[in-house]
Amino acid sequence: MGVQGSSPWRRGLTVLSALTVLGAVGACGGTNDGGDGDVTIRFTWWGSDDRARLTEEAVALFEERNPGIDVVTSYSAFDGYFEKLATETAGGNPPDVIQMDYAYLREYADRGVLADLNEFGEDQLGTEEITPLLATSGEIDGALYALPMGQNTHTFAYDVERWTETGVDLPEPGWTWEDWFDASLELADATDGESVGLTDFGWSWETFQVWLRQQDKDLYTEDAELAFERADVVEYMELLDRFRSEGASTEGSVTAQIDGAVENSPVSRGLAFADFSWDSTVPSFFSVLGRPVALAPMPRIGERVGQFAKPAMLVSVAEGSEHKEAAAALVDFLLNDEDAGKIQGTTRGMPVNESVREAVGAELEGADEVVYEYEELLADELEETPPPPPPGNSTLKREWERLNQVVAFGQISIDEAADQFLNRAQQEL
Amino acid sequence: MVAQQVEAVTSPPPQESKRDQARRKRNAKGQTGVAYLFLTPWMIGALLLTVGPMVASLYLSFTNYNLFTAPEWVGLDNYVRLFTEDDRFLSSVSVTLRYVLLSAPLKLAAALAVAMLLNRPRKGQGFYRSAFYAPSLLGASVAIALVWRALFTDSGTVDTLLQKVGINTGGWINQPQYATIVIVILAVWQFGAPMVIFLAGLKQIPQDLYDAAAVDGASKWKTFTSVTLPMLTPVVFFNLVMEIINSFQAFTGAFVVSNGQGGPADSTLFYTLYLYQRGFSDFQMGYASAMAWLLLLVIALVTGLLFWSSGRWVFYSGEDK
Repeated sequence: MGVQGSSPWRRGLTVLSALTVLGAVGACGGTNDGGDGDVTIRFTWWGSDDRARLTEEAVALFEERNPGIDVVTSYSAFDGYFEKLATETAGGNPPDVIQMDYAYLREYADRGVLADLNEFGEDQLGTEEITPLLATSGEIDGALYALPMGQNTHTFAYDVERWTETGVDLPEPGWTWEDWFDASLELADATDGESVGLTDFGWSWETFQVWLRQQDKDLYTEDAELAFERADVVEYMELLDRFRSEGASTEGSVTAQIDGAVENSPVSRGLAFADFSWDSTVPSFFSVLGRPVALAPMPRIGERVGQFAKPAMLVSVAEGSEHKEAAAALVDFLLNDEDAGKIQGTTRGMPVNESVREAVGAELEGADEVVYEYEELLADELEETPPPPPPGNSTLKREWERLNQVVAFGQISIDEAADQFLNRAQQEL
Repeated sequence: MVAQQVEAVTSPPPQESKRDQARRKRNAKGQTGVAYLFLTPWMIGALLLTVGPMVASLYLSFTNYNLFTAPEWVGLDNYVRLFTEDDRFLSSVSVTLRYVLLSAPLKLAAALAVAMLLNRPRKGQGFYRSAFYAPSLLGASVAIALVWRALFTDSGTVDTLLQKVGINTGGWINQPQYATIVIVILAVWQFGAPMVIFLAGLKQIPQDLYDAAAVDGASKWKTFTSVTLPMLTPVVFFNLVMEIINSFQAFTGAFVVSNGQGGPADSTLFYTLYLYQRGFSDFQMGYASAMAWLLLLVIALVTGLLFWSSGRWVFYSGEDK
């Protein structure tokens, strides 16, 4: 019945209440600006809770030293981080200080989202002490779009205690792919096939890059074209296939469960002795396994190791930021301040500032020490970071990993896989 | 019913004066206005959050758009590329079709079977109905998909139990030939909604039909195929349409179980999951929009076909057949 037959009063009331509801809905859209003259900047990163705790601690120290600057922090897991950042950026509201991944750097730089850090003076944002291996890793066409936050490199991490128990010789820095193949078979024999020697390293696009560099090739040329040929793809896939089919590396159903998380890796599950990884993940291996892992360099073909110092992650300042100076001050503090370095340890890889690295290195223990010593061991052999990959790289990386699975399950031949890969590369680059 | 009819006959509505009529009209108008006023929040929401984005995505499907730079018009290029250049697209179509063909009929069969069990009066009926409905409330959630992942993984619960009876599959979600089945089981387990609708349908079947069948000496199976099923066809039709639309759009299960990758070897790369990857991982929003509109067209087409075929097998009581 509602309004019918009731007084105009009640009808008026109904309308009024409706308007009130609408008004309340509208009022929810307000903004909250601090308004006390302070500068507020936003800083976002990906990483574990552990990294978050250390970063928050460093940021708190920064705020204490710079009372005029408020830092609003946010973080998430790597999964979803770039989806969120892309949405924020597309909406014209990127964070002021952005933890950036090497693989995405060019995409963001090309789109004019990132500030050229060369515009800041050495006193505002110091770059002189940054290790020369990485100093230009964030440089594209002469502009410095990012600085490295930490250094890491490729490694084969292995379960050293279990390996020693089998009596098989431990890996040496000069081992070739064939040496690893033989040792893997011995390890599989020693455990009656329960564990194989190696995780199928075809799950990772980066191992292919190292293998190419060992033959003086690479993934991409400077003009963002493929720097390898179909024959290379076929040869590498045949290498992977030989490891798999002869029982030197994990089979498809095991490899399919690798998701990048250390706890799901075949080494953590006791199904393999060694796993391709980045040395920055070593602390996670220590805590998941409850025992140490040791680090070996990548297997070689000849002399050249092909590994490079990789910026484990980078940091950028948004071009659209209203407080670029404050943002640069935070970046400078995180990278170059000794106290900030001591708080952060190796949570983002080896510190990039050389004097900070020395100061921090003296205090390291456990997993951090293993990483530090591994980096020292390779210091002379590590090569300079290649230029950031082209925008299609993330798609190609996924395609590569997918094709490795499809081949491992015997669904297509290596020839077909190579065709599909080159086809995709042609579309993406 | 009868009482109402009697009342309607005995007390005709009092004659309205012209003034009354005018007032009623005005009131009705005022009421409609107020109704629309109350609907405004919803309409604003629908326009801004549904219709607007849909129109935008139709436009974007004809462009190259990476979220950062302005969309660039490419005509039908995205649609052409889908069919000519993209192996993964074709494989995602076949994965999705397989899923739809498996999950929709199995789910309806499970729903009907349980509905028939629950249709007979028994003690604790209310409890059983709620218990069987519960998975539908939980099933779409990420948490349950995670549980599923843990159950069916290599050396997970299911694998371990099967090994005890001598079946060694070596895990389900990590092998391409089993991974879809896990997601189908997850879908079938959520049979609650069609079950409730089947239950309501079963209650509508007149008891005298069953009595007549019993007098004629029909077996249980014969009664089911000749009485229950024909009388239930309108409900089956409704459920079938709903389930097919739903399963074309399935996303959560595949996303969580395969960790967003659609693996192993693309065996769980559902259409919507590939769409998501193209849009939000590769930032090819135009391409993803084209995929979305294609899905809409296919669903509309399939639904249309179902409606067209329904004339042949759906029986509405009161109809001559």
